Amino acid sequence: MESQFDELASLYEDMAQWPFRKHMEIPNVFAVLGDLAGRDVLDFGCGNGMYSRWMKARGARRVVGYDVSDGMLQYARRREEKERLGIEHTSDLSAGLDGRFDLVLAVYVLPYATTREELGAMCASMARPLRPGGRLVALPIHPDYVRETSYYEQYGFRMTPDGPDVDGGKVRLDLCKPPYDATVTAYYWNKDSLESAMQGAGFRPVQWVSHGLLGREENDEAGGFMRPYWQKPHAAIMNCQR
Amino acid sequence: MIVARSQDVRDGLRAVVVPSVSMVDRHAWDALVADSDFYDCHGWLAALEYALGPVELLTLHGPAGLLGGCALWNGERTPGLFCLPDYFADVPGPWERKFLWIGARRSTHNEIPCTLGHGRDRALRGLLDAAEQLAVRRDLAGVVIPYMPLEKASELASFREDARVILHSAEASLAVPPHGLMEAMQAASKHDRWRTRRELAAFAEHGDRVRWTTRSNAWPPI
Repeated sequence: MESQFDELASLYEDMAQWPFRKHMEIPNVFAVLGDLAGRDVLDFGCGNGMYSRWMKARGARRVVGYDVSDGMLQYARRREEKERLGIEHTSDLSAGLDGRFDLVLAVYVLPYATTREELGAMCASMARPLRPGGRLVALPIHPDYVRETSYYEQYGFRMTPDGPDVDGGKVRLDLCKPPYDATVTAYYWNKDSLESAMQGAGFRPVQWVSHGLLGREENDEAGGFMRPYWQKPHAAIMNCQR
Repeated sequence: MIVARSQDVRDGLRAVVVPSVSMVDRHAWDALVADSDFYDCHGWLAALEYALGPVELLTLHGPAGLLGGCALWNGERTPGLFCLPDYFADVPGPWERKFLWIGARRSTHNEIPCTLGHGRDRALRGLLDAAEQLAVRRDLAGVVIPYMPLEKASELASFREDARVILHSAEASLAVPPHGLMEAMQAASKHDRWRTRRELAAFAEHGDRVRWTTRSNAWPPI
């Protein structure tokens, strides 16, 4: 399927080294995921497959990467051909995957639901692959992200409402760390909408996880460079149990 | 085979010639390579470079990074699989001049590694334009992409009015007896018969049909 992400696989790979991801998002996501040894994990919206590879390297038993972007999946598949970690990739969430996973990880997927109905359907399709008691860890746009254009610029991106700043409104994400200059359109969903969609999909009450300043050395090395992001991250972490 | 001539690269895309495949990130490159296009994968190009010296690449970059690229080489001047005067002895064209050859050296299957999705057309057009500009700068007669699957060649040629797709055999020369394919098959070895049937089946799978006809002497000039 054609997608706005088809050309962004390498950019997203590089972005893993950007401080807001390397020193904040990624360690926090793994802290919430917990011990992956022997777990079966669905990487929902796997993109270029970097989380899939990391989860496999951390001992996950089965890792399936799902994405609808042909360009992203092609990158992930080519990596797997070379590295042979045993990761499966698919663009089709068939019923054969229902109830097969202990964990579903969905990094930056919920912001691409364009309507409330799509948001509900997306949450339901994240719930179905989980075994009873399984967990979804999802990263939506933070309900309280800073609307000021320049706030996140030092971290390599700008995020601003693209039109009315309302629930379900468009958000423009500019990835502007040189040499890149790409724009992605996302959608803002407030806390009530996200919680309601999760509960409608059969999840228990949602746990909102605050980012920790993990890796003190990295976070302090630039004089607290990550502190403003930590205080107002652009993405939230939702921990949901089925 | 595709032969193209010139126009400016546009749409804010940046074409860069790099002198070695080692200068391109292998994962970013391989993500652009189609499943059927083994000879363009980074590993194969790196192996050619290891064995035969630097492989020059023409790369195309957009605001989000690498969008497409192709290996470059000079073709051959001696009779054989990669010699234009041999290919097109009966087709009027500047075959005695040098061309910019696209594809891995001596590869008999060439495609253009390129992004998928909505940016593909723009990237292919940009690459073709950049290749043509490079050929002009190097005082070459044009750009040649040999041994390209018909479907891929047609896609690429659609971006330039002056591009030509010329269907040619993968053999340097093939004598066709008076009774056509059946007689040729009877004379061939078992392995060659099997291979020909397989190639024809693949050809038909793409909706193509073989029709035997007398060759016309009135080829349009290239």
